[in-house]
Amino acid sequence: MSLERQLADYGKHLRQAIADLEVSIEPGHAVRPVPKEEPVRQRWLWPAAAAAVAAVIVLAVVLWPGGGSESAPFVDDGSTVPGTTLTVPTTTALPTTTTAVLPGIEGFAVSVDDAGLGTGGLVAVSAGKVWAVGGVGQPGLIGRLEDGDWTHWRLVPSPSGQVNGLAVAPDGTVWAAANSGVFSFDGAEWTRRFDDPAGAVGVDGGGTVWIGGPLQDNRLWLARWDGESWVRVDPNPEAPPDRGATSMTVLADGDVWIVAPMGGWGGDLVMRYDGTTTESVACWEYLDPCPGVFTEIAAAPNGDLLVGGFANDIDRQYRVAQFDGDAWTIWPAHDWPSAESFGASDMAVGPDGVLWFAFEGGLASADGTEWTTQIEGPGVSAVDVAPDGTVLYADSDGVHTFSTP
Amino acid sequence: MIVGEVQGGSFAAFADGVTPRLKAALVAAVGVERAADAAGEALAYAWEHWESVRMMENPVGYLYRVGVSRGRRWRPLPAVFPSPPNGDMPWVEPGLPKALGGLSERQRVAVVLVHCLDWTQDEVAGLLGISRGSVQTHLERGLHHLRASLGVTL
Repeated sequence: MSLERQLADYGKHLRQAIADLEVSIEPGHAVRPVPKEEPVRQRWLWPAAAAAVAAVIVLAVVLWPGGGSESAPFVDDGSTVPGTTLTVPTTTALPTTTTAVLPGIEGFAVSVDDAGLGTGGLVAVSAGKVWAVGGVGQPGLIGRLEDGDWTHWRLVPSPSGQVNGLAVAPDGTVWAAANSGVFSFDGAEWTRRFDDPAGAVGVDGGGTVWIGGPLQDNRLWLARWDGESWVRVDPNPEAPPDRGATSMTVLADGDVWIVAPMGGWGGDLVMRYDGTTTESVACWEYLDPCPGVFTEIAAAPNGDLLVGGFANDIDRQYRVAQFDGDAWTIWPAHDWPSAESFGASDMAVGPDGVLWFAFEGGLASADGTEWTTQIEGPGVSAVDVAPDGTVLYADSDGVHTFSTP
Repeated sequence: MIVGEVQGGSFAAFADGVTPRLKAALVAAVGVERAADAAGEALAYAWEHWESVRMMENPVGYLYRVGVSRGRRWRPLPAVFPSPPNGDMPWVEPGLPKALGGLSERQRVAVVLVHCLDWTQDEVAGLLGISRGSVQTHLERGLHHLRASLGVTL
């Protein structure tokens, strides 16, 4: 039977699945327009680049077309964001699960299957402690794996509970960006820090927290936490509409880098905020050929930016380029001929400068001149490297520590 | 569904009208498991910005882009499609659902909407904001990759 006929027949099954989908609409969020703040740039000079890298977390910024209001929803007078302390009851029926209850929103306990936790992203604090974001089918789920034991939180109910980004500050505070706001965890309790949707949260080497999201006119907004309020910075006036973003990295020099994917094989954009303005850095000017999709960025130990991605969906070749602030250096490409699909992908850099890349084709490492396939097989979704160099990765079976055979 | 007192009637009718096609388009883009959340986000956005959305010529296309963008995660996640129940459709390649998830987003949207859900190429072009010729290209490439993935020639 022809492929077209099979697709048509499969469509009959798919129609029923679509009809069975239940869509719920959450109440909107209050938005308070504020005067535009003058951007303030800070530079952090780190004599120990490795320490800066250890504290820099790769995040995600989701650029929603038309999302948000005319101006970003910040505290209007720079006063302290009202911190809402969340009660965290422990459910007796599920001893390893805790539920954060937001005022006015009922929390609920869920039966949590550790498998798959982490496929939405990993942040390795140490060899024995890692934070994990839930993957497909686990919206709003955050887990902490410490010395072999899991603790889970589901900050808000679906659908608004989607966690878009997770970061750990040098002081150990965990920051989570979700469709329902931004939250911080001090080791004992979660506190709401921002009321409106945020696509990403990041922390630089100095501990400054950044968040990001979309404006109504499709431009990106960024803001940093000054300890009491969020200070908004200029959005990029040239950001094309309808672009999401999948990675944000704050380098040791204070520059914030963001990836805006095309959503197809058309060439992702990389954007940089230097403390004053945001510019689009078209990667095809520096990478030949340029990664077309699933572009990831990460900070190298020496403060350089690393950009990686796939050029096309035919030869499954992964390409990486390194930017030192002035010039780009192209790394040798890596082939994944056995990969069946692209699925999730993730990139992380260790304190030794070795890049680790995870995707549906497996797990590989690169030192700038040579690639080594470490795991060949489907389903490696996320990877991160702890400050001591321990590599942790996540697949559908859970979070694992990578060991050289 | 949350409906206000003044404008609720018109929004409810709008939502009832667009939801079926919006769900179909989002399933094609992000898979069944994520489509419900993406559609909820898109319709919530439409509710919050009803005054502007109600004036749009192509609200489904706009809300589709809202849903896809808001559905994007920290890390790209695969689009998951359901397999037919055991025994049903034995003539359909068992690997077809997974192969659909392995296509690029636009190829998958074009193939699923046109060949599985009977949308016209013009309708897909309007949804994606691209030319019909581009839709045809995505279809050809998508079918090519499916045949390669499934090892079929027909």
